[in-house]
Amino acid sequence: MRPRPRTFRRLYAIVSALALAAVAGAQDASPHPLAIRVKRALTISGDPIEDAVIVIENGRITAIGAQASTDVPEEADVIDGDGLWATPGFIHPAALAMGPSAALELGGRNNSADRLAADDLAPTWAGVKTLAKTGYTRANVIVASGGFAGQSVLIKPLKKLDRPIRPADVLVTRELGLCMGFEAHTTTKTLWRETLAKVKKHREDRASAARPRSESAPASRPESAESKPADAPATRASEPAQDPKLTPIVDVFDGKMPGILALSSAAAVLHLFPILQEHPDFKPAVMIGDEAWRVVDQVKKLGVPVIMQPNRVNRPDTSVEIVPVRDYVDAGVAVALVPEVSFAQQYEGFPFHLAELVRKGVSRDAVLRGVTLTPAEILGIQKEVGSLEKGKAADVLLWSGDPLAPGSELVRVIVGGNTVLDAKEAP
Amino acid sequence: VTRAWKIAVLVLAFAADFQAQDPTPAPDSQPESRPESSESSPASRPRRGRRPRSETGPTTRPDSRAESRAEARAESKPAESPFLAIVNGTIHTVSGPVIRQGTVLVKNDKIVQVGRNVQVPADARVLDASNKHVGPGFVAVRSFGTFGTSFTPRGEEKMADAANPFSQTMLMALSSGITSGCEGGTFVPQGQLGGFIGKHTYGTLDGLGIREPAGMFLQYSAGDMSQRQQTRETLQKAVEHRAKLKAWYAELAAGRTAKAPTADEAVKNFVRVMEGELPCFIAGNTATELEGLAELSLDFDLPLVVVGATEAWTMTGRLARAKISVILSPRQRPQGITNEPTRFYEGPSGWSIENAAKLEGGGIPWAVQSLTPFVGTGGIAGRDLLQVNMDAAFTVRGGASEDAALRAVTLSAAEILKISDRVGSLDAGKDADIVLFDLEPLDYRSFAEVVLVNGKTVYEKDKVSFFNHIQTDRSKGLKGRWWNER
Repeated sequence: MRPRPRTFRRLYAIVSALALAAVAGAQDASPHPLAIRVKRALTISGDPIEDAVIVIENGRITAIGAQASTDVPEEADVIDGDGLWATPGFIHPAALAMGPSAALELGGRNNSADRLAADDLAPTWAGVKTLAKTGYTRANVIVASGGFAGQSVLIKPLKKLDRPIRPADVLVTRELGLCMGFEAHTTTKTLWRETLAKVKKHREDRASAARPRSESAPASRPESAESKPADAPATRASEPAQDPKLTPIVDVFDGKMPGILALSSAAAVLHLFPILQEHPDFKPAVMIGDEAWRVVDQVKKLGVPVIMQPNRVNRPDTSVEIVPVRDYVDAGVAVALVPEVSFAQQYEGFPFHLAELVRKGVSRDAVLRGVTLTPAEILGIQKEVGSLEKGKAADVLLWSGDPLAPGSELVRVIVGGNTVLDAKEAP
Repeated sequence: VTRAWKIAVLVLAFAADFQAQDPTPAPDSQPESRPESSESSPASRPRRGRRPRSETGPTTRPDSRAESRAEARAESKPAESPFLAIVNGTIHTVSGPVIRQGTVLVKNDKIVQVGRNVQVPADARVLDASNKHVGPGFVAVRSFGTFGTSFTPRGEEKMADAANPFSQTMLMALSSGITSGCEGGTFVPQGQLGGFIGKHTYGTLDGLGIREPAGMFLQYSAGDMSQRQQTRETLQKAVEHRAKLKAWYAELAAGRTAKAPTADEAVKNFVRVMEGELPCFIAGNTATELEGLAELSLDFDLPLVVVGATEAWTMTGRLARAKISVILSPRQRPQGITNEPTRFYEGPSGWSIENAAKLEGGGIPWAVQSLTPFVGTGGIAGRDLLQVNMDAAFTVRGGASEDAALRAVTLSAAEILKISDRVGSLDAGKDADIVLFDLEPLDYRSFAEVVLVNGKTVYEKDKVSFFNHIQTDRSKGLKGRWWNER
């Protein structure tokens, strides 16, 4: 039994109302069920579903399946995406900034793992729109600096309001991941070797210490004012390191906090490789850049995921074309894909480059996972987002056709059940 | 007592020395025989059909997916033989006579045997060098930028920590047959050590470092008398400290207890130079400058490596009596090389094409460096590191022997840098840094076709776009494509 279609106008009214709710930091929650009918849903976690319907209630996917076999509540609003394709929202694991005024580069080498990108977050409506336009429903804004640079903040786009945007509008999780950087230099090598050794020692001490006093141990750090959203990582280290700056690094070792490590070059990987090999529990996702293809073996041996751009490179000494993503996918390394330039205002062409990867022999699945589930797993938010599954947040992209076919357009971006961008009404 | 004294010097070589990393290469990443030479390969030697694995270095990385997958499967096969035999080549050992139709046998990263009748293990990989010239890799006695960084280390910093083994400059140096280089050391305070000696291990950091710091880079300018005076005072202290150390070790050797002598770091460094443990580089071109350096060397028993030495041919006897070796750039004209302003543009040039020949006759060790220590592609073509063999060949025109000219960019350079236990000649026990040239190494027409560092192929002319478009069959005489078209 198919529900009666209703007009979109009513939906927009709800969205506007709910956008205000988002400002308060509350989870988006539509009181009214929503059903989206599409020609094909690419669930990522499972097989594609033909003639699918996605049912959304209170900002979550409550059902997804073939239209013929999936129950849709009578009262649901319906988006009849005739001929459209649905995918989960894209997730940016390492966005540098949001908009031109939100530079987060802190400069120089520092060692302040307790520095928070959230404190420097300065979103703009233009930045939010760029995110949404590219299909990003979550972006992990990192602290771009060397050493143990600071902690990232997870944000999401929302529909434009008639007032200046505030950090609280986009904020999802204040202290999501640890941002790190490394370039080949005696100083940085020493910093890394010594810091990781300290963390190792701390963990050994912690393991050998008798248990009882943990109940009275204070929280590792003061909680942020916002109530913790659902897609925050589970818990933090229950016992803080002696140096508070070490606590987030301990969390990365414990698998309680994701780590994002930017490496300045392939040579930097070689320099850091022996240090990282001593710490098998330390598994940050690595960003390497254009030269990533040179160190596939090392990254594979480290067993870490890689965050890379879909671009192809020509080997400087042979003019042979290289598809670094293909090298990594073939080697069995988890690859998260990000736009060529990590600044939000330069995301144009990203879908085209993804389509190019498929043309160059990377599997469709690897490419689609690379922008959805893999980054979600890197960020530890895969239970909340990253695929079209019952129970996950209703972050859905509607495409005019196959998202990996050149020419397909992103026609609608839905975050938590709310449309934040609609191509039809875009100015 | 002499032995105890040697041990004392080793003790002085405190931990600051850069220790080369694990030199053992992956046994399965060795080069293999080149297909075009199959007809001249000895029938007795079984050939293996499998391609080398891709991580031999990016130069052999396949560009097709199917190949890369085939090689991924190859990983599960048993490891390749640690032996590599370079056969049928004209072998320029440098340390000894040229061997025709000889074999260089390599095990992992070391040369194990060189000669005409070498027993090659049955499973050895074979690199056919028929009609090729096989020589040790060139040693750039001064280089700049080939380790992929322009970083000048200070204090505890090490250039090895910033090296980029994927640097294109390193690959270009390899394309000229240069496998080792000595970089840095400028702007080091007087009496302190600096610089870096390493190998062009393209694609890996393993075995890249040979020594850091490389040595002492001394200033002894004729125009700065106070600096000269201070240097001589420090050297006097070093002479005294050296005597005290000798006495101390004599006491220890005799079984008596004694208090170890102390000195500041510059003094200790000078003692290390006096003991021949580290080279001491110093600039000098005119006869006046060279006379001052000879005096310094004789006064303090201080071995010096004089860089430049334009007018050395005028005073070979004096230089031979002093402990002086020379690094010269045979094509360097004297303009702008002197600290005597009046001779900058006028006066006798002092330059002679026979400089190297006279040094050879006088028994003074000499090495050749290119006019500029860079790898350059513009403006000064022919005068940079890429043509270091031509610089060496130029000395032959002035009367130097061809053997000495080849030594000047290999063994002599290694001896001056005090790394000849590792590199500089094709001898058993030395590092497998080997170049296959299509013609004589010093022929201006020759190309390095295959370059091995630590037994691993790091450059192949045919696979790198620098020179692979130049296809001339030099093996059948002088004719090349260009020649035939004429």
